[in-house]
Amino acid sequence: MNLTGTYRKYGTKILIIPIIAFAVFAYLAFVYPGISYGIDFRGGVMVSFSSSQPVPADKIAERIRSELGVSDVSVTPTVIPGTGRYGGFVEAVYPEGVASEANIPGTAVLSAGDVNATNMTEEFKRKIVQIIKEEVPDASDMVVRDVAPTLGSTFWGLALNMLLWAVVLLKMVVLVAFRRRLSLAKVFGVIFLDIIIAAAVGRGMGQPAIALALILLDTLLLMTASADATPTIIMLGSAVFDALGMLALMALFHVPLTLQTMTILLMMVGYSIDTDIVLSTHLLKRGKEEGDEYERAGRAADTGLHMSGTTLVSMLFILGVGYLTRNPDVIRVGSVMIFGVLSDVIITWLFNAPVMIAWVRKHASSA
Amino acid sequence: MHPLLKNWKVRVLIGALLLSVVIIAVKGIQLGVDFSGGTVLIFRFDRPLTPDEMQQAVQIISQRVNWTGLASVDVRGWGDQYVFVELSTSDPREIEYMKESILRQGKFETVVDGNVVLTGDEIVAVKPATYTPLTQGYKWQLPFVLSPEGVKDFYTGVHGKCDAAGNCKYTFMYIDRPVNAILLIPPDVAEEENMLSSLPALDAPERDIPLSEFITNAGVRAFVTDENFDIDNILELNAPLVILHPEDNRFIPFLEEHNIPYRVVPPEEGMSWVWRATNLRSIVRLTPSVTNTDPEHATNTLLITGWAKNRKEAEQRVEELSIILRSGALPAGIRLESEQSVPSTYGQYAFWTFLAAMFASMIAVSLYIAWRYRVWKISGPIILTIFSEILLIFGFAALINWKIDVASMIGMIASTGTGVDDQIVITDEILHGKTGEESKKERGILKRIRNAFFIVFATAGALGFSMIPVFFSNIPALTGFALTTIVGILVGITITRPAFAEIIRYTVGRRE
Repeated sequence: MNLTGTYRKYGTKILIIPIIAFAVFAYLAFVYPGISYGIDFRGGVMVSFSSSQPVPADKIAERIRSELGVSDVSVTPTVIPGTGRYGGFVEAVYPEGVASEANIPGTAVLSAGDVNATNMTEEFKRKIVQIIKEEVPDASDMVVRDVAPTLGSTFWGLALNMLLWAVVLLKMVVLVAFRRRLSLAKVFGVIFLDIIIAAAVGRGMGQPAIALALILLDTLLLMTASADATPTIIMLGSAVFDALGMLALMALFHVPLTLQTMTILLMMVGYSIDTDIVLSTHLLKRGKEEGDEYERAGRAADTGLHMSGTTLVSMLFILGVGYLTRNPDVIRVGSVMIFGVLSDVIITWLFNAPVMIAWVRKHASSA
Repeated sequence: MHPLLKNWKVRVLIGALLLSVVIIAVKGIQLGVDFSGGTVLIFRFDRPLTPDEMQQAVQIISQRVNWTGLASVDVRGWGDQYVFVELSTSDPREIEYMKESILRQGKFETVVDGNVVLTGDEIVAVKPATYTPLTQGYKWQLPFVLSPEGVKDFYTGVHGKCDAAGNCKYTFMYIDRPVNAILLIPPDVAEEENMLSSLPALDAPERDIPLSEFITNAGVRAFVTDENFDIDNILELNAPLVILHPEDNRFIPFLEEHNIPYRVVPPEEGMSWVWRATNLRSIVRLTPSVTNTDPEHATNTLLITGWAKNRKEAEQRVEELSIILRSGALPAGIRLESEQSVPSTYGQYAFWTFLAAMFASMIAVSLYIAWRYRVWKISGPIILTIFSEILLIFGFAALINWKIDVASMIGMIASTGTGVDDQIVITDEILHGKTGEESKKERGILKRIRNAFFIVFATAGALGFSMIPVFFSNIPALTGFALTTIVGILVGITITRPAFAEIIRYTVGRRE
């Protein structure tokens, strides 16, 4: 697909599409349906199994809801292609009672209370397995996993820390690779500041969200200090958009945020930089002899879209394996990867490209 | 010689591949619980531990699960408050037993002639051990302190247990002695372990302690399950537990039918089964210096002395004993926070599905690229590159004994799948000069490759760097993913992609 003509004809008018997309994504991710958090972060039980007959998902969900008092339960039936076998996975978040019994940070847990807490979660897990066995008598290959709420909150803290460092490191790579005429002193000054902020949060000083905001803020300051930083800032902005796009699609398709999906989110943000780099290399590092800005951007899009195409092909295979092995984690991982590629295509070729073309043209004419 | 084989980048690739194959052949690929089947338990201490305490806790937990003798285990600390325990079993009964033995504090008892002479409550402290090098091997000494009651009970209990010739009795140390349990011993085991030494190894020299002494001290009622044995007889004995050898599995239906609790203890190669079955931890011979002492005038410190081949062995033995003397107590309260079991049949199925998908994805991607450039010749190099990357990642995993789990496999597919991007960039850069009509000014292929590699390095940097924090998070479910992604990227930019560029250059060059 060649986008040269499109870029030439519509120019920055194309931006309306990603701007609308941004609003829609923000709505999906934060308002409705909103991002859901998996048992990794909230504590709960997950069971996957296979059987020779279709799984009565609604019935199982209803029984878990009414008999165990769980409001947050999902039962997903699956068909294992080509085998004539069925499967399902059940995920239930611990209800308040169980969670609070097992989750009292700071209280003494040594003796009897400890045993009770363990028993309540054990009992909860046992009942879920029992309900599944009653509804699906020949359920086999059962994989059971449970996470206590305390462990969940530990995982959550860790995941936020991970996110923060990934953002700092990504920023570093992009700033160093595309610093152009920016002085190294400025680049390393900003990176040093970011590292201090991230390290402070890691030691329990300050909130990760505030740190993230600070890290984005100093980037904007860098942009005001130097016009040369603009392409880099655009690249980093697109990483934020990419993450938002993935979160929105995850919310829309009920893919919860878990340890694994969070990791994939980070990976896909790293990956999305790929296409941005292809675009900026074509626009910034190539001369007029390779065509004007529109042609160079069009050619970059040609390469970039094929990159996304091939990535999509291998991601579809991951998704396929997920269904074949009835592994909910793998299905989620595959889905998030595909979401990542999709939102990357929107942001890179419909937002970054027209903005960068305009910037290069303005810069070239003023120079 | 084929001209490509003269290129050093191609030679490096071939060398790395051969090395990988050798490493995999020698060391083998280890599979994680996801694929081999098994259980992962996550425990949490009720307070953060110091690094020393954590190390000690990991050792104690390893010992507790190893004592159960049920399955191979891998125990490791995570952060300052968590411990991961990986078991190779997914049998609910065995897992239940393991969990119980980890969560419960063991009961320490020292027994002589069937009488308890010392319990865990009577040991006040275990002091640091001393080591003395000898002309051959090492001597170690482990002192421990008794409470006043302990001093009295112990010296009274062991008084006169050495004869005039200096032949002394043995003390048997147990954690959770199965008192009153019924021990069913298969005839061949009874014969093999008729005489045992003071070490658990069956090939230990000086087998001079009769089996009967083991039975008496353990406080169990033992039966040899030969043709004269009638299982009905145990009904009247009202035993709290029946301990079985797997050879006697035929009695299980009977025990289940009569609701008698039982435990199957599998044998371990070269080790005494009776030791394991009775929870015996150590045997220490008494000396006249203790047995002849008047309890009224005894000191409160006892000393265990032993000999080992080398310092390491000595330290190991001391570590084991001090854990036993402390009743295997953990430094802080502990509870179970997460459990995941994977049946082994499912694990195998998952592994082969993943492998098949990986190859299918490889072929699909290369066909797609070949179709996109309409140059079928390049699909060969692309398949070769992806395949090489996967082989090199497996080789690296085998080298560092990394266990391949679902996360590692996804990482492999992801890093090779995104790695294809780089191959597209390289191919594009090289083919661009040939097919782009708009560019009349040919530039050297070499320059284009340099261009391509700037992109390759920058993109690899971005992806790889985003995975570094994940790797250091140390969460087992994620580190595999981060590791294979980072290794995939590294072998990609340093080994496979430079070779790919050369091969493509050669293929395209010949097209001219």
